[in-house]
Amino acid sequence: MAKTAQKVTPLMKQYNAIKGKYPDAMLLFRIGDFYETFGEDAIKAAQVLGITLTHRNNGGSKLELAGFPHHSVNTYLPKLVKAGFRVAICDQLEDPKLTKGIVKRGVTELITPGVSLNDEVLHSKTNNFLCSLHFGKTLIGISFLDVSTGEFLTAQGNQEYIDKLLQNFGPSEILVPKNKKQLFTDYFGADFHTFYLEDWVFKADYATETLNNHFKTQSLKGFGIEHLQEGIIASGAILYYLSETQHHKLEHITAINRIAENDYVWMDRFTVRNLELYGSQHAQAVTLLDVIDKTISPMGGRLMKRWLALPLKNATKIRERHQVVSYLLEDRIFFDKITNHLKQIGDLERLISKVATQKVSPREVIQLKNSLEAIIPIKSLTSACNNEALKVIGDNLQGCDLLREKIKATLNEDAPVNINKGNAIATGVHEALDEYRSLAFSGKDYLAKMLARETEATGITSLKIASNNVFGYYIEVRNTHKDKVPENWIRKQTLVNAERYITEELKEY
Amino acid sequence: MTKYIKSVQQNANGIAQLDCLCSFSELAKINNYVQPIIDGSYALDIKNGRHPVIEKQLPLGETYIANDVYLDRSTQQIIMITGPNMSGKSAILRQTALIVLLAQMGSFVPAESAKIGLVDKIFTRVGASDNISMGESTFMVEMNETASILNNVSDRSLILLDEIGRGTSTYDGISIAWAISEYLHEHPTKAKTLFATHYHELNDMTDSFKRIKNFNVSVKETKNNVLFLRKLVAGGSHHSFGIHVAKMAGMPQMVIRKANKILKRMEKSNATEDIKDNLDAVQNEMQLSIFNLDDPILTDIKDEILSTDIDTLTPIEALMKLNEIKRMLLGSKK
Repeated sequence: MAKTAQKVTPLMKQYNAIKGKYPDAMLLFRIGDFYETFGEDAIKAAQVLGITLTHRNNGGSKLELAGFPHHSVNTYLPKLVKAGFRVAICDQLEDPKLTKGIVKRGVTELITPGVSLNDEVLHSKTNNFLCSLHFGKTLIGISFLDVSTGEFLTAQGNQEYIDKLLQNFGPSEILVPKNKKQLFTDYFGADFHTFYLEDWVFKADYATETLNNHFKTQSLKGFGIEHLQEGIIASGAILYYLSETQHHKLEHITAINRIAENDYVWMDRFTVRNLELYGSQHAQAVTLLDVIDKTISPMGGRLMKRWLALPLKNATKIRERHQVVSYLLEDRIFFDKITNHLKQIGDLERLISKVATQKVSPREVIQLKNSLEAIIPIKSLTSACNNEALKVIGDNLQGCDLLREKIKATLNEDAPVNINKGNAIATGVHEALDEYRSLAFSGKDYLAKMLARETEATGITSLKIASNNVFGYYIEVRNTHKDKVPENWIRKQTLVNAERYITEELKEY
Repeated sequence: MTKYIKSVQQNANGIAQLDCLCSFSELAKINNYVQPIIDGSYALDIKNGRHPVIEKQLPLGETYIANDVYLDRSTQQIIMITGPNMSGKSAILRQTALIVLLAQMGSFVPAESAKIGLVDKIFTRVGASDNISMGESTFMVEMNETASILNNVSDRSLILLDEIGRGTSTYDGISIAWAISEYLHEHPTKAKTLFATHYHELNDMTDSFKRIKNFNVSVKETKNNVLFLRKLVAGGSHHSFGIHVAKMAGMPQMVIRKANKILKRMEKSNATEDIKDNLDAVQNEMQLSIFNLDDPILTDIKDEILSTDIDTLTPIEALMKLNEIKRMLLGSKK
């Protein structure tokens, strides 16, 4: 290109620079109100999304171009992610009104099948796991992370065990060291969506440090995983990948847990597939999960799938669950009460994750509050019942009183999804805001009062107050009442059957 | 708000558990499940168990035929389920696994009663599960999958084998199925096994192995037709009714007639008896060989066996070795 002395526009220069950093991702490049894709990306995007492919005709270049308006990003983005693309969103980092020349742009988010907080991409009743594998000398370390719920798990074991875990958790994306590419396909097949990371990420020191930094701990002993060398390395690689994909707000990932191999019934890949527990090669097949899942909340749905994938081996724990079930069967009134309250509860895990990643909308915060409110009666019901296991669950539920109070006081009950729509913050929170609001909304009251007053004073029954762009607010008088107009009104416009006046008071308003 | 992340997550977890348990109780109520008894024994005793998924798929008016399954390590370790195609052998196998699974998840189970000694591993294998896209032959896949069971089995395992050996010729199939069953019977873990097969030759195993029991899925034979009763009863079965099934599937009359003729002729020539004799012969020859070592071929076999390092041998290799030895013997007869 350079040889033919083709001029590269500053915009394309910027595009190329950013694209250079994310060569394997589809770059959505914000230009004005549109997200645009160029070149190869455009061809693929046009195909997947069914949008028009055009050419950018700047400076004689014939670069392919396809784009969509920024507000429809929520409809298009999931399609791209589901099609298996890694999508980098490049936004304008400055206000174009305030800068001269080209606006600074940068990638604000990299969305991959395994890392996504978007409701459109996620299924509420399944976890969306990102997985990472580390091939140690004898054992393989594995780590699972669901960014949308904050669950972080690790384990290590031989090939068969890892194979089983992959089958159990069904990750949407697997991170594999570049040099183990072949080994991975040999062991686990080519059916998974994989991404290859540099080898240096998979180092023990680096991983331990990354994990300790994230959890702000001195050692990983508290999580009971410090002996899982290979698992730690895999977990470190996952955190590295998250920071690579511009996910820096990860406070909802509060702990890392060990998948205890010996606690659960072993079922290998073939068995899980044969029994059609939660997935089947046949599209129409009814799986066991379809039949037994009667859960109400999304968290319940996800846990049900986990329980099905990992049945217990501990007789005491199993019996405990049976006792609760039989208690719930006997006391139907209690059961009905609980389920009624459960219906009020939204996806707590994903809501709080959105809070942590600062992607929460005002309406979602209200949902969070309402969900937490529904927990209060559940807590008192379960704590008061005479089943030990239920009591423990009840006792562990938190009231979160302060949080609820705070949200209640701060936000309007019918807060909008988009904060720009306004009316999110409740009255009485911020003085200046209240004043602006009263000006904005009480204006009409004020005009109505004035209209009533003038009507009474002049005796003109058909007075109207309206505004136009030329001289703002005015009073309109029908010709029949023209003679009753007071002297201090200033005539501005004469129509066929009416005259428009302004007053000092309106002018000020 | 970030201060509350932990407590909200804790709440989410509690609610999720409560939700699942409520779901179990709702499920138990709607579908009439019962509370299983979990204990530390090795026995599995299911009375009138049902398949949780199939029972929901039945057309209106039809009821699921419930079945009893009893397995333990001392008297009834391996059940050979024979029965015609389509009679519901696979359903019985799977429902047993699903009932155990549901019980150990903490749910109630679709049965009249269930007593379950804890199970720590569940293995299921289905013969000839096609995997053409992977480029492996079905039989190879089948053997691969089976080998991994034999290497991982434990005393609390539940093993379900569905038509293992189907992916090869009849004689090979029977031989492999026989050898695998024998291996599981003799294995110190004495793992509980359900083996569904349509090789009724395997019924003869009960003569030599005391913890193997024969069951069959009953059918009612009318003149030219069969009625599937789907009830598991003790005892072996003698026909596969494959031709009946072919007829029900709408195969042209000519094909059915021809098939019936061939079957008659083969039954007359006692092909099945031959196989049985052959198998018995294999058993006998193995026993004899220990006493009769004058035969040069038997000496060869003895050396072969002695030079085999059993510790490094996979079950499949063992089978292949067995085949090799058999070939040596057959060669000697010519």
